[in-house]
Amino acid sequence: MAEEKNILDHLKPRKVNVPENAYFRELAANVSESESKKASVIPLFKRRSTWLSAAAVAAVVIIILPFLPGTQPDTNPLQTLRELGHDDVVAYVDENIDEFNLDMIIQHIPHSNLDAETKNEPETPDSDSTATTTTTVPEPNLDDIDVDDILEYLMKEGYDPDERSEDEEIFI
Amino acid sequence: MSNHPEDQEIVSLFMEGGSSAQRAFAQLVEKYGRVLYSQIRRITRNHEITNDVLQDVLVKVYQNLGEFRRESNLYTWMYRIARNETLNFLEKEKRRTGVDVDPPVIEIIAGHAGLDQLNEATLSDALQKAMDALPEKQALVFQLRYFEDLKFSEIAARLGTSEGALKANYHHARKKIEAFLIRQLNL
Repeated sequence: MAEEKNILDHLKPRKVNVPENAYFRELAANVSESESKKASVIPLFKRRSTWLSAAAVAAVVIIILPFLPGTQPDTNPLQTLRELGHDDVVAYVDENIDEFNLDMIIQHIPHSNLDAETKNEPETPDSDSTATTTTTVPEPNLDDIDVDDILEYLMKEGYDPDERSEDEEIFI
Repeated sequence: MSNHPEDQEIVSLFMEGGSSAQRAFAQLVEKYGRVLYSQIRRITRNHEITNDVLQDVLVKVYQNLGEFRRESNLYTWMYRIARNETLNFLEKEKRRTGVDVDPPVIEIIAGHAGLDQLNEATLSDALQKAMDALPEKQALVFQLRYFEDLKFSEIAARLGTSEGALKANYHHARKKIEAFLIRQLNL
């Protein structure tokens, strides 16, 4: 037990061979020189000013970003459409009708609406929908026309009542 | 541990930059270079390796001296850098072979039954491990007293602390090292 307390007394440190003072002077000079050269050429990403500038730009962007057009949170297109009135939409479509694909629009209009619209339209000479428009013209009622008017019309057309066939008699 | 007035002057001079910084750094190395060299070489046991490590240590000291907190002790700060750099270097260079190494840092004085059975290299390695396990201040005081053979008054002046505190630190360091060696080497 007495030995345990004196272990270090039984050991003797060896002296380390330390170089002369000139070695340390040279070492200090070398480190000073190389480090002062490094200090004069500081890489861009290591410069404090670079990081401060970047931080300042980032801060400005973060502050301004919410106020830039198109970056506000209420610019949801669906929300904007909901806020538009019917008249606004109609006016817009009216102004820009040439830019719309009419076939596509027609596809989305219910047929019942389309029929109603076309029934109310006056017949136009260049209308393609002749089948639809003819149905709207009331059929002539011959009972309302005087017989004399009919005969006069037929005479003008070069019709000779004496040369009428049996079929035609039946008609009259 | 407060800073030595002379060390404060060195730091102030270094902060002036330019040739003043170079002059201050030269003073710093002149004052502490030898003890740092001994500290490193005692672990590496080779001059070339010690030279490389010491150079790395001094580069770190140069780069960080401007941010050194003056309420700390300059030598303690450099001692810490040297200790870490040395251990890191040895960790990286573990596989290096064929290097001429110094004799073990301690020699055995005959008369201790357990120690007489051991070789000096094994004992030196164990002693180094015991020192690595010590708290930093105790390791520092042990090194300066045991290996550098400095008087407590000299150590007190260097570290800016009282002799009583140093003696207490040295006493605790010895006890822990002895306990470590007994346990490690089955003495």
